[in-house]
Amino acid sequence: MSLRISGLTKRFGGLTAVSDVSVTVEEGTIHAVIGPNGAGKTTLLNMLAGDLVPSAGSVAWRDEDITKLSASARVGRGIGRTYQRTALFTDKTVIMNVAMGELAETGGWRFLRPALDRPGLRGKALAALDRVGLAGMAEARAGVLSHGARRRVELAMVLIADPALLLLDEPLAGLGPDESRQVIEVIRALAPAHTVVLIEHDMDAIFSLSHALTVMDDGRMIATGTPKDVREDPAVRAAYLGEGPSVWGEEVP
Amino acid sequence: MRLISHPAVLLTLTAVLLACASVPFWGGTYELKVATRILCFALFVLSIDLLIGFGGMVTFGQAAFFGLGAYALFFLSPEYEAGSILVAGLGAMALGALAALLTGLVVVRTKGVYFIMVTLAFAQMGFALFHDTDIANGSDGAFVFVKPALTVAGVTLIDFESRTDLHFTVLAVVVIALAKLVVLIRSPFGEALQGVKTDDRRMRALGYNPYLIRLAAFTMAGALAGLAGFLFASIDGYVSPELLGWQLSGQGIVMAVLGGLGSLGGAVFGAASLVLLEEVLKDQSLVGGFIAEHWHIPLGLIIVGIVLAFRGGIAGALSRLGGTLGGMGGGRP
Repeated sequence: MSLRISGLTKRFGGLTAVSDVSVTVEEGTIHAVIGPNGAGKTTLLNMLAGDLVPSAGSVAWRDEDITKLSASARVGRGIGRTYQRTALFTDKTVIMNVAMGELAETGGWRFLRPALDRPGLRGKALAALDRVGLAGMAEARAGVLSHGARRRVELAMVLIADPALLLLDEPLAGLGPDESRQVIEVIRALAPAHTVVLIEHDMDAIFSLSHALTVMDDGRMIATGTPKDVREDPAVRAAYLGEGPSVWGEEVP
Repeated sequence: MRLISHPAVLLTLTAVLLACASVPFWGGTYELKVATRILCFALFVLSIDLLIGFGGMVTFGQAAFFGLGAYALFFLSPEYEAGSILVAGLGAMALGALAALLTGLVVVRTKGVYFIMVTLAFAQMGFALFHDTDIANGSDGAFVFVKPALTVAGVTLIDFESRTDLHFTVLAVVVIALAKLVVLIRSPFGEALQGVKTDDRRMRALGYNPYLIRLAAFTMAGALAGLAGFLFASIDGYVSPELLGWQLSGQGIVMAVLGGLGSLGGAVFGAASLVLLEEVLKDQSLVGGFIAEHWHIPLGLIIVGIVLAFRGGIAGALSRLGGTLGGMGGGRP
């Protein structure tokens, strides 16, 4: 049981954003995708989530080929995602934003009772908000939140539906140190009950969180394996040397 | 959402509806007809507000469904006896819904300016269908000689030949429509529709089907516009292709914006203010001959003034006037 990515490729006209990426993510693990800006990380995540149709290759989740499934069909298979650029419903309250993740189960085809009156929904939404430390902001309009708080609401929106596979696009981007620590612990606690694929730039977070890593550069996958393997991989070190050795922290000789 | 339940908006809405209810007790035929027309347009504008204000679908063809509802009255009325209000009214809603569903299959795939274009194109096709053929006398329009009635077991309960009966029926329909729409907007469907308006990609990622949600809203709005057209045609018992025309669609948008999009109550404010402004500006004894002759110009200036002065239309202005009465201040529409 796993997420199997085979030969995944995405071309935009003449540009190959993702080229022939093959990775297997074991269930119950946290798998980080790293690489410089423009390496194709988000494009890869978009193909996993169903927001982009691959030009070639396939994605299989729990032995089912989901390459051609729409984003909403993948939600039905237990796959949820967050966005790099926060995409909240700014007109709605924070709790309603989170509730939208759970109400999706009905597809919105309920016409009579107020949305939050669905039995158990309010409690579940508050619990999801509590996990990211925002229960106190439940009734605020999402549009007035700080950037860090918005990122955490984003995470709560996915958490409420309790997906088996979470695709997180830079969940720590723009968070303060305290918020960061809190979100890191939320993500850490997701495994082994959930499988997580995350894109992140914060190297300390990645090495403390992830069970496996994939390094991308210029659309290609240049290494994949445990954090230790990847750190010692000559191709990775060659690719990153130009960016300065500090990227890898003190452990790099 | 906040606009709907704002105390100042609710209070004003109640006042306007009560004023409409009082007209049969003091007004003559002219006043009563104006009041009934306001209420029919309010229904029509509610259908537009559902699409633009809550669904982000800027329709420029809503009159097509209004006009079809009006023609339903003609088609479902026997020539020399009273038809049934129930049959004709439900027929008008069904026709509006069916036409909206069929065109919606294509229309709701588009967005923004393309949505405007495609709704306009379909509506003008509808206009041409009645204008350039012999259906119901083509461009001349057609009269309904006996207006419908609601008869149960031989007893006539409502007769649209009576202006008062018609007026109170339309008023009741407006109140019911407002109540139903408030419930709808707050239901999971309403939340999903507003979610699709803000970010449909995000909605898809959450597992919703934005296409079907838009289509459902478009169909509901078609039914509501059809009902409004049926009631409107019952005022004078006359239908013409102009009822499907783009001018009326445009007027509907103006009323919706004037009243305040996304507020429901604004539909009533917008319809009332535009109809009343028009009546006042056309009245020589009130504004003088020159203005009455060129009433479009002052009307345009007033509309521009209101839109510039009140962000969020009349409902928006009322909600700011009421301040944070409901503890829900801050934030822009």
